[in-house]
Order: sequence, then C-alpha cells, then structure tokens
Amino acid sequence: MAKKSSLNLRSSLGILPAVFFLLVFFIAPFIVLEYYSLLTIVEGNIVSGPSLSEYARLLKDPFNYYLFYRTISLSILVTLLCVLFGYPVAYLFNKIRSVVLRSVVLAIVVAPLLTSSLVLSFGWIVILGKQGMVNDVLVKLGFLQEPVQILFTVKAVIIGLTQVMLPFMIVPLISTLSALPRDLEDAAVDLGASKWQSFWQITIPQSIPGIAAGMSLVFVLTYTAFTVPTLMGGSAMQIVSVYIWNNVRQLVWGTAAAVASLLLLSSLAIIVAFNWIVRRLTPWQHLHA
Amino acid sequence: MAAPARLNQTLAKAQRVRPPLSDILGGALLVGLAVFALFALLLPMAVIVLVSFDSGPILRFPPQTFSFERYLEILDLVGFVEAITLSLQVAFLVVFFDLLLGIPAAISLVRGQFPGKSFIIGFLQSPMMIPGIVIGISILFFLSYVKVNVSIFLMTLSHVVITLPFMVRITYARMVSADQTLEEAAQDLGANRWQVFRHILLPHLMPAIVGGSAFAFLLSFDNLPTSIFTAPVVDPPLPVYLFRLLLYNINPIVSPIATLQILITFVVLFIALRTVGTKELVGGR
Repeated sequence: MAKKSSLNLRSSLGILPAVFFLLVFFIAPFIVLEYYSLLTIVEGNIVSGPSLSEYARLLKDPFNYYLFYRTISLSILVTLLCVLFGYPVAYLFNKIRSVVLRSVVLAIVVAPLLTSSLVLSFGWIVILGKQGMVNDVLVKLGFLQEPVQILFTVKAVIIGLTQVMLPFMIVPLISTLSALPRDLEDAAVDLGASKWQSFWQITIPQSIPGIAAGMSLVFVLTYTAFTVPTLMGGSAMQIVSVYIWNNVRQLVWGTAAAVASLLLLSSLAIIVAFNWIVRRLTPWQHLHA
Repeated sequence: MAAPARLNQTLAKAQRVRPPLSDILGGALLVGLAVFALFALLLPMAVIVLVSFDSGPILRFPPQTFSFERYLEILDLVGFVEAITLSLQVAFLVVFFDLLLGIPAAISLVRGQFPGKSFIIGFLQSPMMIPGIVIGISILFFLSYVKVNVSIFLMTLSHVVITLPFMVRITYARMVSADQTLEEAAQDLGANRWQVFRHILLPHLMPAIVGGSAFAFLLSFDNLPTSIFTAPVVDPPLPVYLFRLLLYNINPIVSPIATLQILITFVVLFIALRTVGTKELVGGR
C-alpha cells in the first residue's frame, strides 16, 4: 500500500514542467499585460500610471465604441453565414453512403483548417482582385460594365473569414449530427410528416447544441482574427485586432494592452451570455444530464 | 415483425410516388448550399496552385501560360532562405519542447493521483481559449518588462504556449486507452521506470506523438498572429515575411511559395488524419 502511494506521487510529478512552463510564460505575461494596460506609454516610455486612465480614455472616445460595434457585427454576420453554408454540408455528409465520397468531402473540409489563413487570404486576393475570377465572370456575363473594387473592402473580409471559419462550424456539426438517432426522423415521416417538415422540426431542434458549439467557436475566432482582415481589408481596416497591431507598431503599448484586455473580456462575456441563452432555449437538454 | 416493416415500405413507396413540393425545393436548397460551400472551400487553394504556373508581373485568373518562371524567381528573392530557415528551426524547437513538456504531463494526468486534477487539465488547455494576438503581445510585453532579450527564443516560447495544449490533448486522449496491467506486469518482471516508458508506453503513444508533432509543427510554421509580435524584426520567419510582401502590393511571387505550403499542409493532413482524429485537431468545445 505504502509502495503504491509513493509510486503515485512519483507518477504525478510529470505534470510539473508543463504547469511551471505555463505559469511563467502564459500566466505571468498575462499579468504584465494587465499591468501595462494601467500605464500610459508613449513611444515605448512609461509616462504615467498605474491608473485606470487608459480605460477611462477608451470609454470616453466614441471611436472605440464604433470599433467594437463594427467587429462584433462583422463576427455575427460571419457566424450566421457559417451556419447557413456549414449545416447543409454536415447534414448531407451523414447521408452519404459511399466511403470514397465521404473521405473526399472530409478532406475538402479539413484541408483549409490546416492551411494557414495567410495562404487562403492570398487565394482570395487573386480571386477577388480587379483581374480576378469574380470580376471576370461578372463582366463576361454582362452583370457588370467594368471590374469593381471588392478587395480591400469589408465585403472581401466577410468572404475570406466565412471560408476560413467554415470548417470550424462543419466539424463539430458532423459529430453532433452523426450522434443523433435516425429513428426520430423516420418516425416523423411514418406519421405523415414530409421530409422537409421532419428536417425542420425534428433534426434542426435536436442539433441546436452542435450549432451552438460551432457558433461560439466561429464567433471567438472571427472576433479575434488578424490575418484575413489585415490582408484582405488592408492595414487601415477598422477591426479591433488590426487596431491593436497598429498601436503596438506605433509603440503606444498602454492603449494596445488595454484594448487587448477589453477584447479578451468582451469575447468571454459574449460567449457566456450566448451559452446562457442557448441553455434557456433548449430546456430538454438538461433531461439527459 | 415482418408486417410493420412491409407496411413501412408501402407507406414509403406511396410517398415516393408524390413527394410534396417542399421536399423537392428543400432538398435542392440543401444540396445547392452544400455544393456551393464545398466549392468555395476548395477554390482559394485550387486558384493558388493554378496561378503559380502562370508567368508575367500580373496576377490574373484564369492563367494564360504554363511555366515554372515563378518557381525559379523564388531563388532570387532576398531574405527568403533566411525566412524559411528560421521558420523551420523554430518549428523543430517547438515540437521538441512540446514533447518534452507534453508527454510527461499526459502520462501524469492519466496515471497520477493528485488533488485538483480536473483544474490542472483545464489549466493546460487554457491557452487555446486566448486569441493568438493577445498571447503574442503579452509575451512581448513580459520579456520587455523583465528586460530579457532572447531573439528567436521569444518566438519559440510564444509558439510553445500556443501548441502545448494541443500536444497534451492529443497524447492524453491516446494515454487514456493504455493498459495499466502491462506496465504493472513489466515492473513485476523487474523493469525500471525508464524501461516501462521506453518499451510499453512509448510504443502505445507513438501515433499521438507523430500526429501531435506534425500538427504542432504546422501550427508553428504557419503562425502569423502571434509571430507578428514576437518574431525578430530583421530576417523574420516565413509567415511574417510573406505578410510584409503582401501588405503593400499584391506580389505574384507569393503564389509558388503558397503552393509549396499547401503541399506541406496536405502531407501533414495525411499524417494527422492517419494517426489522430479530427476532433482533437479542431478543439471543439
């Protein structure tokens, strides 16, 4: 018995290096970030602080409200687009019987997930540019007289982000939908419901937890995305992450730290609120637990 | 049992004769959206590969020539070799530290008994919840605060923070299925702890180690949001180098480099899907 407990103590020691590493290089930097957000730093020199003056200044400036409002509405739009396009893919994936087709679809879904968003943005730059495919097709079909500017507008950012985030919606949905019992859908059809009715009234409500999981993941990733907005919207794109980067570049570190803290805090708050609403909307989920 | 089954079939057949309009329209809508989504998912990568074989100073689609001109131009690109060398160095270092920290952690989380275990599991996953740019600037500020200048280690450290949760998650998932009786039998037969690890645990964990390493390598190699703050300003790693090339003008030279990156991605995707599941990779909550 004594031998066993000492053995357990020794086999618990392996956790220490990883915990120690994260305490020093994840938690401590985080504390420094919060400390810096209380300082006023101009061109890399601490001017004053610590105080809440940076936050007070941020809360007074209407531009910051506009910045966060813009970023949040962009993220909501992208999240909704991901549900619209992601759900059919995940739903039909579980209906496919052919093993080959299944692996092809899975590869198409997972490949962008592992490709850097820098590479994907570059692809969209080629597609959406003035000499690109979209303008080419629209002009040839007679919808447009001459090529229009899509790139470096918010439209391009929405298109790029939706594509980059789509796999993060599809993968959780595939696993949720494959776990749903098929009998309910069949039973609804046997009882006289049309297939569309059974899809709309049986399958969709049952998959709300999966949709919600995908939505919170996509929302957070979009809300804090950096690569796609900067490359496809230009470095003047008015998005929180780009604003933070511009502040770090100009060595206004106090502002950068405060905005980064607000970004983190607001994303956590939105997710908690969202999950609370989802739990209220799906009371039957607690019956299982 | 036979009768209801036949009844079902008859009912199904009766419905198949005259499907309501909503079924046809709804089905067409779902298929249409799904096909469009899959097309859009594949499009940027396909376009990059095709465009990389075009020539001339303008990026256009569809491409009008077929040549390796752009691939040859990479060789003349100033700073490219330094960029890719740094990215590879850092990625290998990151995988090394991830394995060094992650494997013992995963084994202890399964075999060890200590208070607050579920808290520790949550703690080791927590960097996944934090945006890459926030991790980047906090490490930048931290090392400027403690006044340590460690050049490429700054970037390596920030990448280990990002990738370690994935390494722990993937090896932990594999470790759960390890058979403890084998380890006990080996110890009873006189094996020391190192021998148990080397001959029992390591072979069992191998798929997770290979998959986790491949994934961590890719995450580090491709990272921009964190590296933009933690990478050296002179001679930056590949993603920061490409970012600067693209930020001020659309440079066709990026297309062959991006094609090579897509190639690397597919190799890693193949390794990762063979060894670990998609769920560990996405990190769905």
